[in-house]
Amino acid sequence: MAPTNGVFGHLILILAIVGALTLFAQRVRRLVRLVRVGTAEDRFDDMPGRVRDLLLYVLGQRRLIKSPNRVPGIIHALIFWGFLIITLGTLQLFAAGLDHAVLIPAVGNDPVYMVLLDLMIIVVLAAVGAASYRRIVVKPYRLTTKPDAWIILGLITVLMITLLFTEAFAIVAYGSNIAHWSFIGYALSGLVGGLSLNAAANLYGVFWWAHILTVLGFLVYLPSSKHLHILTAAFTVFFRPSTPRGAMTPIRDLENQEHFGVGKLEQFGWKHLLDTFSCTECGRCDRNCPALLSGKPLSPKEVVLGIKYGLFGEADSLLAGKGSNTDGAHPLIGGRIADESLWSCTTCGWCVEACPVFIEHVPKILDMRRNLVLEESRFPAEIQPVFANLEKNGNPWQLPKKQRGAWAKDLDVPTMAEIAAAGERIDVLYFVGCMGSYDQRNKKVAAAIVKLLKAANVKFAILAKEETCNGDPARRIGNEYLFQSLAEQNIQTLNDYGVKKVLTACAHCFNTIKNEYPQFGGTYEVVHHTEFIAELVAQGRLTLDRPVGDGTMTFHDPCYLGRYNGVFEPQRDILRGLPMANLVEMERTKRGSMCCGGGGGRSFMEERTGKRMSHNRIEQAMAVKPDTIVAACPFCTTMFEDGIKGMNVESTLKVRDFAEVVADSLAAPGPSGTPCYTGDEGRD
Amino acid sequence: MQKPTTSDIWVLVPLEGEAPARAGLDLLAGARDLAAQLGGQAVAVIYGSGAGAQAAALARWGAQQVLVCDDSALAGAGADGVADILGQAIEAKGPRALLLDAALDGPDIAGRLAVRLGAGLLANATALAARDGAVVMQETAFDGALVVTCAADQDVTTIITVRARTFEAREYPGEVTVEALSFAPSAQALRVRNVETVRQTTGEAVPLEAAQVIVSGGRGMGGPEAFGILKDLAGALGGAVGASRAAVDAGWVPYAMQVGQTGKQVKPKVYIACGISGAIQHKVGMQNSAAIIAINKDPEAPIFDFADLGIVGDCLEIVPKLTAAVRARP
Amino acid sequence: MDIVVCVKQTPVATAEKRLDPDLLLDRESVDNAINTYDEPAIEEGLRLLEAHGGSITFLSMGPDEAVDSLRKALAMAGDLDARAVLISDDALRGSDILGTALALSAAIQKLNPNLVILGMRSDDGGAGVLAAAMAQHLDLALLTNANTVTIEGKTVRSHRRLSDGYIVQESDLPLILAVTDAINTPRYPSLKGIMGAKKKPLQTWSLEELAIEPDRVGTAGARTHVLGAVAPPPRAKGEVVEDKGDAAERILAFLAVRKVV
Repeated sequence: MAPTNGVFGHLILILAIVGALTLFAQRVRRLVRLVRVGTAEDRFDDMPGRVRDLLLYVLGQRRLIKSPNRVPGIIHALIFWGFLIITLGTLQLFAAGLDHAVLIPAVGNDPVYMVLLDLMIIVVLAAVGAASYRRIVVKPYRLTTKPDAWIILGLITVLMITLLFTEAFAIVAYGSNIAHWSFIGYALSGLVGGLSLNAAANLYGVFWWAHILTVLGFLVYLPSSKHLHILTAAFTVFFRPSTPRGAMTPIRDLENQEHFGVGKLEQFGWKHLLDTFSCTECGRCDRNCPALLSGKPLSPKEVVLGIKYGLFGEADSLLAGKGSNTDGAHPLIGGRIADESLWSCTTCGWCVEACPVFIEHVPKILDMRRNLVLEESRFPAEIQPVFANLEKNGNPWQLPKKQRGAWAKDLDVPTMAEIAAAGERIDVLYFVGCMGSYDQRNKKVAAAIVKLLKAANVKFAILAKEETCNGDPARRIGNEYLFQSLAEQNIQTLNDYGVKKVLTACAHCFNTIKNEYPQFGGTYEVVHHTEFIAELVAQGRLTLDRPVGDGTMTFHDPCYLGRYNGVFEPQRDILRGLPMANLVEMERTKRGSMCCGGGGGRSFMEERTGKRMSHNRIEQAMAVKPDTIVAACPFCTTMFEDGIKGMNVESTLKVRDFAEVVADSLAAPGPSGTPCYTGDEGRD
Repeated sequence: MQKPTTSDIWVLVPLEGEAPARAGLDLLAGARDLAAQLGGQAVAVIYGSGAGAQAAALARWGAQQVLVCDDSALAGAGADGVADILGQAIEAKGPRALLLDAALDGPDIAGRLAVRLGAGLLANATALAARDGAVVMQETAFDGALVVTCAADQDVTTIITVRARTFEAREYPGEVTVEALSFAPSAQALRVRNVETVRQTTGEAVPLEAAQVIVSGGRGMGGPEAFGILKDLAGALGGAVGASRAAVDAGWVPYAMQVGQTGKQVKPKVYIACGISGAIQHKVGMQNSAAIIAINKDPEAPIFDFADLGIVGDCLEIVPKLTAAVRARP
Repeated sequence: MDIVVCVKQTPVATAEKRLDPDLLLDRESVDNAINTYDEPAIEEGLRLLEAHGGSITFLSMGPDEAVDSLRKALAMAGDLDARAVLISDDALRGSDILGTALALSAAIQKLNPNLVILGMRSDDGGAGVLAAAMAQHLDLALLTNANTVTIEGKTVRSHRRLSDGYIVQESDLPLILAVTDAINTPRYPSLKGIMGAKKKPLQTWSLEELAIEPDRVGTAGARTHVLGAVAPPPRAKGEVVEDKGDAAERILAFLAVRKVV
């Protein structure tokens, strides 16, 4: 029983299907060609991992159903799963339309399926209702509701309604001994039961065609709506990066490149262009963006959409091979996306973590920064001396190279040079970093680490003046050239000394040496001091039984330690295990931790608009009423120290590094060269 | 090559308004000592409109001879013109050395003279003496990383530029002979035209980067009003007011006053840091100051690790007292 | 416009400086960079070039390593028409300011520009007399301490910076210009500029090519001699005292000793 009786009916159906598919295919083809405008990228490695992620994140809707945003996420998951089921039913309708005897196995006339189908229709309708409620009544900040959204919701509703009424009128017109399994349709059929068989059959036909045509219309509409993600999301998830998130793509063979980074749409890798098709403007990326939430002109969503609109707006020119911005009136940077937006990013990675379809916001921003720095020499003025200082002094300040080891001079710390000369071996090389070596506040952290290492009898050494900045700020600001020169220096030194294991107290040094140095021949076992100290405690080499003097503590997860590299627990285990310790968690914690504002080279830049990013995070900390914020990265420590003073809350809140807290808990106090931090520390 | 025919030490004394420039008088005292050691006389060369009237008075400041160039042709002539006159005078009279102030016109005149005369040239002296008949000076190189001692060849006239305040003007008894110079600058010496002089004496007249004295405030100032006392002190010392990032962050002072990592890098003679902790972001902007004074309530403040004089106290009390004391000085 | 900018390579501000046994700067032991004060001079040259067209030559006198600073200047020039010349000769070692002025002036005569730009001083010598010495050799007008520069036709107008204002000066091309450290913010060379700099023309001239007798320059030609050098002690922790009501007096005494009051 299908309303395509006769040749005429079949012909119309076939024409409709062929017509819609043709239009659809044309539009999809155009989209594919647009994606191929991008530059080459190898995203075909790690197949098993890619398939696994496809199942977890697309089929499993994993990122959507995690908090924050759990409720809307569940709504979406239900619509998604619902549609998977429903689509089978739609296919059955099409099949029956072509040949009314066709029954798809386990679908057509299958009782289980029929129940499931109607159930899912109700679920979807409820979900659409909830989604509408959110848009009309709740109106959350991150959700920008454009007409497109209503079109989609409307179309979905139409599809569901037509499906139900198709069922209902079919039941009335033709009856069936299994009709009751379509329980909603069956109930509906009761409501319209008074109709004549003929009327019912006609209405059935109407709703059937309505449904079919709506489906086909939807198919054709799809490529120009934000609902496109239903086609492309699987691909953007599948083609997600296979390299560690904290590793930027190296620019190889710098000497011979014509272009650096991305200054024009067509210079993006193809996956980055594909990403923009999957953006549904859900705004999860924006939700915890430290820049956006502190009033900076950066919205990760708008960056993605800026690229998307550029791509669609200039599609004709791009597809004709003429490139983008041919009239010079629509530059990518400085036009579609403001310079200041790019510089506001701390590269914290929240956006990338949150995006349910695996859009890579941060790499796009960094690609554009590279263009600004390496090709245009266009960057905030305060960065120029940072570059000059890194080049000349190996640190971002005007401080002499040869003073890099001076912080340790009274602490009896051997240098690698001494170790090598004596023919000895070490367990671990402590890569101190610029902050630990030169910054008054962070030298205390380095001293605490030395105290701990000695107490645990770890054989270690530092590079002192042979160490140079790991290069992270340079790389994240976009100066790949400077980064490579710094990295290569360090790698050369480490390799010459045959170093195997590296310890750092800075989340940035940790991430870069672990995930990026291998790109240039520097592969070591890299541990962060949180992990390492936890290891030592587990091995019984450190006894921590003096009561903690820091009151209630809350741990702030540094972006490059937590979100980027997954280290959350060792530090918490240790802190919780300290005598008299009281550890509370902030609302935004672990993967959801909000950036202190210091990453991405931003600690070297002025914040010219809005509120200080660190102030936001300090407020979040203060909401759980701690006495101490425990940090594990010198940038966080510095940002919080400045912020606490700026907010005038020094009397109620202080910042301590994890190593300092632990060192104070050491059972046998060593020769204390390090005065305990009193909480009164001057910081300007 | 110009050979000296006397052991006289000449000093160029420009006019500042109607009076001889203080820097010139300082140099005269130095020249007097040097000349005495070498067996010559201290000769002041004074030029500018109205110079004649000032000539005799220079005896009081140590000049034993005065050469005057009160020539209207020099009006608007600039360093090139003065160098020309001096060159002719030196060629005629053969002094042992000529001392000039190392600021502004001094180096311009010195450079031209040294080449024209085939003379020796020593620049930026911070100390000057005679040793075994030779003129010996000290200068600092590499922003103070090295103190270098140099000597000039004895058989050659030496042009020396001297840093301000290397000598102090002194009073001497005695008379002086005054001679008018009748040399006129050549046309080439007058190629540079001084069109107008613009004085900027209001507000922050002394640019931070060039100030010899900087009085700087940080969080310890407590608020924008407190910066008024810093302004008073800076005014009394002829310096400029700076700030740490904390004060700028708090909105107390504009960003243009910020000294530090993302602000200005300064190298004054004296940097007085009030209520500034001395964290690295600030330190890197002022650590090359010749002398650093820090006033801070917190004895643990990092700035005390590298200040030359650290006062643990309340800057809001100390600074006004200091300003009064400075103003009270003759 | 045909511009020559003089560039000096000096030790990095934070490097340890030593004099070798000959009492000459031990250049091997330190990291070198462009004299900080020459960067605004390079930048001004490039800006004038961008505004008026023409070509620019970066000129330096020094050992072979000075080539690095010339390449950095060329990198800043980016796409502009730029080249570099290094005057390098063993006989130049130990030159005083006048020897340097002689060599640079001879090279400039060969290059025959209509504008020569220098920085106001150098990181290591700090004298500020070089420009005047060269002006005398080349018989050119000299505008020093220029804090802004504009060129209209043949006339160059500058603001000569004073401690409390400025003098507006004018003169006609050709002339020598010495610019302050505050005249502009030097551009950061793009990577393309850095890579392109390697391909730009860089010549090395010896004394012979400049027709200068060796005994007029170097240690031989110097009329002043270095007797010795000492490094003053590093910035140590000074005196830290508590205010007992006498702070103002203590500070005043401190200032007086340093001749600030």
